Amino acid sequence: MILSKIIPRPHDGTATGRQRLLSLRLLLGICVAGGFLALPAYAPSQDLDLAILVGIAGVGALGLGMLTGYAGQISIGQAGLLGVGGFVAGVTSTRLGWGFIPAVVLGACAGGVVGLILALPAARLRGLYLVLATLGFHYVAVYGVTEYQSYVNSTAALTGLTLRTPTLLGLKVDSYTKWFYLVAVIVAITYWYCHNVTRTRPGRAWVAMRDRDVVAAALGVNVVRAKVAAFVLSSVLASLSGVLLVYYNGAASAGTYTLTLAISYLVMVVVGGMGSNTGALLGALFVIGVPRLLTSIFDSVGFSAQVQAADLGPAQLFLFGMIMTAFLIFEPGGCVALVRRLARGRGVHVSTRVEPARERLEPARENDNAENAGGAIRRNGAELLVVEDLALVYQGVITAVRHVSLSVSKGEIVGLVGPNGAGKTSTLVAIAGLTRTMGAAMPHGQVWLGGKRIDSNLPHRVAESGLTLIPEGRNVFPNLRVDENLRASGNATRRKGAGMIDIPEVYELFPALAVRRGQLAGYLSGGERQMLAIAMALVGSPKVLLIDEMMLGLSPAMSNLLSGVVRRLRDELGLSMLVVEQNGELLRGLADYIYLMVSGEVIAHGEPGRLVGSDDLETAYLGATSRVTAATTGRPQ
Amino acid sequence: MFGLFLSQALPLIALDGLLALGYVIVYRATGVLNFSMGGFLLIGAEVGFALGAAGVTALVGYLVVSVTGLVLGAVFYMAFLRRLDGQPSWVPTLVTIAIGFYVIPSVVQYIWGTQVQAYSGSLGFANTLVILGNGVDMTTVEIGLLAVFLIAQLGFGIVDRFTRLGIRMRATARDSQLAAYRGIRVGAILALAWGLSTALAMFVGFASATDGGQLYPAAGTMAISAFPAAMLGGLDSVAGVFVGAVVVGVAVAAISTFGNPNLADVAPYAVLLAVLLVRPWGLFGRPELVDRV
Repeated sequence: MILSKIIPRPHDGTATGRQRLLSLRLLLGICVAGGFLALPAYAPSQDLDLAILVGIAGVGALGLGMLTGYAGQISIGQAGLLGVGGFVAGVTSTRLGWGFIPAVVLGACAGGVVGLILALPAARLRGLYLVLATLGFHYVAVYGVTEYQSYVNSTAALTGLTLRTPTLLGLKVDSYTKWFYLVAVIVAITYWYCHNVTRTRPGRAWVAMRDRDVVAAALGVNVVRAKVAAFVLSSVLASLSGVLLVYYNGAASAGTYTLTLAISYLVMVVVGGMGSNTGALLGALFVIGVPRLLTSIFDSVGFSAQVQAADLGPAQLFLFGMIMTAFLIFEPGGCVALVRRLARGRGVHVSTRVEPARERLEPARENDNAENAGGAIRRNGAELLVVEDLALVYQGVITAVRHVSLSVSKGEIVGLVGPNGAGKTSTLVAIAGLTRTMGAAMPHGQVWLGGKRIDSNLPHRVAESGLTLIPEGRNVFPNLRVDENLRASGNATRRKGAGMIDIPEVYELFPALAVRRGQLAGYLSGGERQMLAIAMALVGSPKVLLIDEMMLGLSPAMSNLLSGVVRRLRDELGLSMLVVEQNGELLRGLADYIYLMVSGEVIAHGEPGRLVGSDDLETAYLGATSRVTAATTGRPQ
Repeated sequence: MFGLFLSQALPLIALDGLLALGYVIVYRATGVLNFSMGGFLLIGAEVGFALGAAGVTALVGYLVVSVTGLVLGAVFYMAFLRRLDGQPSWVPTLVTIAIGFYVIPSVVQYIWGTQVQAYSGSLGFANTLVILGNGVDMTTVEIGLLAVFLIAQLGFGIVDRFTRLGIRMRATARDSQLAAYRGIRVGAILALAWGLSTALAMFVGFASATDGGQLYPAAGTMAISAFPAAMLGGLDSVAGVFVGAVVVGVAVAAISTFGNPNLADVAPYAVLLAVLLVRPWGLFGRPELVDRV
């Protein structure tokens, strides 16, 4: 009910309604654009100056926005690239006497070449090598232009190169108004180009690469080429911005290309909004506009010129740094996402809040088959682990577990069986207290261990109380030796005492591991790896082991061996275990009790002998139509 | 000439080595490039100078500054970076850039100004030029820094290789989620890594400033020029730090002694670019290639 109020239904936007909205937006857009383009008619010159500087910086910010916001690579070479563009323009203008257009073309090309040289080696590697490359480049570039300046003559060494007023199509660009329109056109073209690039295949490839480079590669993205392209494009735009800036200022001076300037471009991208071209322009407005705002605030407060000179710089840097940090932590989408969130009001919170999910779960409950509902918990007086009516929702929308109730008694192996996607792993995750780390929420449900409720405990507290999860797949440290894996495991807070298993005892249980104790775990066979994973869990001296898909992909012989190990843990150590398997066959001879899960619910439970033959399991696994296959592959009871 | 060259190379090796060790410790544990070290280096020097002015000798100051760094680094992790656990490493790296290049320098400038400051306290020892023979001479502080570097390198290497703490650090670095499952206090391990890195930065900041007795507002760039050493050895290799520091120190000293002294400032970055072109994963690091070109 709450949901329908907050999120507009798709069919609300009827054709006429949408058209009306569109035309309204268009009208609004035209008004804003018109008012903006008419700026020279009414705005004072310092506002025009601000707009021009924001536009020039915006070109560079759009470039870095693609690199950082879309492709997830950091560059602190923006100042160096501005310098490359600026000095190419300076040299072509003062030494060669060339015009504005050749300077723009040559400057942009120079930036592209530098970008290519820097990106080629760095792009081959995962991680943040590009940022180091740009850092090195920054110092070398600044050194280069400084040396060049002092090489030209002594005046240039101090003040830089003086550029002539640019001439475009026979027209001297010599007023704020002319500069305003020139920059407006360049920004518009750049924005349009960036918009197209980021909306089409290259942009999607960058985002895929930013979020998961391995997956991107698997999807057919040439990761190296995509990274190089992003950096070259951003370098071209940065040096183009550098050309414009020196022409606008009338001088190219090496002293202006500082690391602080380079980082201010990162501020633009982060504050404006990563992954948004509009955000990059907003960020440019922020970085160029805020210092002016600060100055006027300082003025109106009445600080003396001395105080201003001393404190304005630090105040500005402090503000930029803190705002950038705050956005990174609280709103990585920057201003754009913030505005969007404010515009949508409470709607944005829906996805992270738990209540709406509960709302959605309610109807499902009414449909429950009372007989099979997870509500009834099997009790025999010796339960160690009790799970009551557990639910788990990912990202606020995907319900992985609806109603799961189960119990594990002392010294008992309990199996949790079900097809792929039934919610078995999610159940384990919720029991182990890892709900939040998995980006999920528990709308309802309770978990009790030895009579104490633990479902609101933090993961390491849950582990300390004696509940240990062995995840499926990555469950050993491949870069450590076998003995190091065992030494790394265990609770630091629990000292040796009753029921504590130490490493020599573990080797007694697993002689195969003792032989391989000096080997890297990454080189173990699949079965040995599972043994090590169990051994590592034992060192933490658990009361209940939660084992996820231990037998997946192992040979039948190895599965038998591991089943034997699990049985010994129960018989010799009195351990309780909750074992998740997709393959019910494997659990039949192992588990003392089996729960069958389908679509997030326990649909049946019982002792293995009785359950396996039942219709429930066959329906769940093989579907009602494939009885023939079931008959031929199923082992006789 | 050769004596002069060695006299320049050895202190450089010590400084680059200590700072590179800080980079490697954080990079190994988290995959983050800790750009905040330059800022903390500056804080270390300022705190040390303030202690000196308050009558604490530098010998005691070194220890106080290092311990403060350990705490500050852990607090930095808890306050800012912990919230970004699980994010791709470029996000926390951006935070270290914002803090290290903007926030810390602005606070330092606000409190202590932009003047070059002179150390007004007593060292607690005599900082003299010690002739080591063959034209090689180093100040007492430089010799001390070199000794501290060798001890830190060896000590961290031993802890990393043989102790349970070191094993747990490596385990956390490889798979922090599994580490949490296996009862490792991941938060504490990461706070320790950030603390160690910050302690190294603050110690180097103060110790190097006591050598000349002067503190320059731009001292933080010293930390940036140690990146090449960390990278040359391999950003994830502890043993690589030593080799990286030696190679970069020798190269830079050679350029400034036998070549153009003006080049000394950019020499580390030239080395960095050269390393990047030839062997970006370093001499001892593991290449994690995404693809071949």
